[in-house]
Amino acid sequence: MKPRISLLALIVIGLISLPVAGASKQWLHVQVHGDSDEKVNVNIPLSLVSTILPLIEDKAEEGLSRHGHWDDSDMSVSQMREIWNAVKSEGAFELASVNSGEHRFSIFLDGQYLRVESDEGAKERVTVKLPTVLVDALLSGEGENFNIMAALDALQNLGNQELVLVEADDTRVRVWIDEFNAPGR
Amino acid sequence: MLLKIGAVFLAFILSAGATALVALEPYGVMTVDFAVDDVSFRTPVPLGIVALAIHFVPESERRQIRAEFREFQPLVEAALTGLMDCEDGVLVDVVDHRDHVLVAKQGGSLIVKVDTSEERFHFQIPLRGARRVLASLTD
Repeated sequence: MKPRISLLALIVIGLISLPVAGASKQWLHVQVHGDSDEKVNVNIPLSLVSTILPLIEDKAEEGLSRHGHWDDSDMSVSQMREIWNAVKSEGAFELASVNSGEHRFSIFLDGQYLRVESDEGAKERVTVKLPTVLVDALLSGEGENFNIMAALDALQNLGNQELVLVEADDTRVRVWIDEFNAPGR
Repeated sequence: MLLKIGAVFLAFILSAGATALVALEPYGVMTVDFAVDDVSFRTPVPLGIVALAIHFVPESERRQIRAEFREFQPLVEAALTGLMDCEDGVLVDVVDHRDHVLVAKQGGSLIVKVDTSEERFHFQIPLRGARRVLASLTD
């Protein structure tokens, strides 16, 4: 009798936990620390974003597409998509090397990541590591639209990893994704 | 005789109170705590009473509130549901010298704390109760 009850309990627990297992447990963390008296920590559960985003997807895409400006020159989403596809087809290579006073960094593609890294000895330490699957997903929309939902899906499947780290003077900016609800764990 | 009437009356009040407590309990209690200059105020607000009070708002007013809220209703409901489903944790924590803003989800409640050198505003609302109140607003 007992094994039957245990089996039934297991089935019930399994059925109850199915929707929970489907939901993402990932958190996106943004941490900006200035001097000792200034800090900003934002921790966003991706499950919350995936609940809200479908309702504001149109507005979010419109806002993001409208702000597709690099420097003073406007770049459309379709142009970005073309450039990204062209760049990606080249495989791993250095896209640019910037040397402007204190700012010395390289932008390169290494297959899995679009990276920005400061050169050794640079005053500011910059590390940006954007998975190509994330950029692919974001640019998988049609016409002048980003595909934010696809980008969110990609983000949820990334696993724990650091996306951005900038350290300059007294300021430290860090963006990362993990399954913990509090930074520093 | 008088004793019997008193006992029946007391039993009626107690059972009415108990029924009200049972009916209002699922809503939970919202806590508001603020202090500005020399004035400080802290009060627990049972959300069940808020939901009940909504029924006494004139229908014309309720219709207007419903119309104005309709646009945001799906978004607010989704946000509340999303928050209810996610783990407890700090969502926003901003410290700027003596000012501190904290938004967190804890034990089924959303907590907002704003502390500056001049004022304090703390607010805690049970998410499930908030969703019920919104539902009663739009019924």
